[in-house]
Amino acid sequence: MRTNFETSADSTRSLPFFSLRAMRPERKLAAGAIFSLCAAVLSRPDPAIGACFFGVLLLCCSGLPLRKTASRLLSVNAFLLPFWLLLPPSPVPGGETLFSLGPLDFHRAGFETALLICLKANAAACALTALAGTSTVAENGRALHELHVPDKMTALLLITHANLGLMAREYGRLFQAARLRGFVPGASPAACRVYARLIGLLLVRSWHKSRRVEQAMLLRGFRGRFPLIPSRCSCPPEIRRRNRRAASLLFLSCCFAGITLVVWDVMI
Amino acid sequence: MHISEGVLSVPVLAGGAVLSLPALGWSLKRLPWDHIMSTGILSAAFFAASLIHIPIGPGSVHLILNGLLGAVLGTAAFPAIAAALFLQSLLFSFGGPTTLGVNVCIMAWPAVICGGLCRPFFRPGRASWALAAFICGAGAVLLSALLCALALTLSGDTFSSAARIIFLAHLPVMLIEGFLSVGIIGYLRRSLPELLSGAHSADKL
Repeated sequence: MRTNFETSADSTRSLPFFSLRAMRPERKLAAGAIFSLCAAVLSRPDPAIGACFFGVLLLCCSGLPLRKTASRLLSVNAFLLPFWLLLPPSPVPGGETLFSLGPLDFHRAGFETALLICLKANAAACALTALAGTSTVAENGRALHELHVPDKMTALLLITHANLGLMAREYGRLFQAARLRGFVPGASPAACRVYARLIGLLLVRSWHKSRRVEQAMLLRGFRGRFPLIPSRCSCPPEIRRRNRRAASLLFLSCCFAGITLVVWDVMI
Repeated sequence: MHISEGVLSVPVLAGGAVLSLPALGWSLKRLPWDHIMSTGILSAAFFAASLIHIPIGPGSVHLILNGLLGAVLGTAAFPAIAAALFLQSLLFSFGGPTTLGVNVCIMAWPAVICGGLCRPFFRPGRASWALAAFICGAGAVLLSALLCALALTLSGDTFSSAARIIFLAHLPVMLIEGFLSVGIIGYLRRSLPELLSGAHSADKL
């Protein structure tokens, strides 16, 4: 089970001319959301290739570690594999058959739909990894606050993330203890009973932990609101100004690229 | 169970956002600040539990546990699931901002419906708790799989067979979740019944 729940932001390399890591996370998040929205409405492969190219360009500029990024994109594409397997043999009325394999006819329309999905999903994944992945989850949470997402939602997101690694490690310990007592993972009724107890125990422990944290917060004067500390760059003012200008430029480029692709898609 | 970016048509994406955003806003309004910490920590525990892979034959299935989440958190399951899906998109690039509405719809509505309907049966002394627990766990996965298949089918005729196969692929998960829910709720009834009473969720306020 995973126990590392952080983006690759801390291992981002700054390129000599450009640093996505130093830019304001709210602008990056907004740019990523607008670009993803534009990519989602594309209905033809040519603009989708353009969107994918722009996404890869952003990823190249992000300076994120290659191996981690490649493995993330691989897992995104693993989720798309069912569409590659299921769409081409799906019957299309009046559709052109490319080839037959036993009783299955593989249609051109199915391949085109699978390709379009793959391009759009990769374009959005590349752009979001480059833009949101170059900020930590805490920075992204604060960015949501800046983008006027309700405070409760932001607080819930940050608390969930802060405790996620802890809970995964707790489950890991419980699972290890069960394995030491001879538990063999599987889907048998006996194994299901053990899984149920492990998950039940995890919930009980998380409940007790939440009670303790709530009491500690009350003792420290909690009055029903979490103050979200605004993110401040500690760099000199001229670098801060340059970063702000670069973030604005990036935001405008993403919006421009997205709108251009949508117009291209409509005009074909 | 979530749908990747780029798969669904624009009307389906818009419909998902329309069905989930008001419910999300309403449940956030009902959720008191005092319960944010317990909701956050419990949703982290559910997120961690949903990463468990149970080996079946040569492959494995991962748990969803949305029915159980609905039974424990009540309507707070909406923001808890939205937070988990947003974290998934940040940490693993699964899903994204455009599919967030549809994915919240697919996961959270069944959680709140099944959890809300079955929770009264989990009180101490109720004989039919085991059946209710099975229905809560399996029913939420069944409804989620149906909604997922519906979203795909509404996105185009080419997706109809893919939707059918995705629905059928979730049937073993449904059975496993049903049996696991019986075990988990039985354990919680014995060791921490207040977790199933809804006392900490927004529903009793």
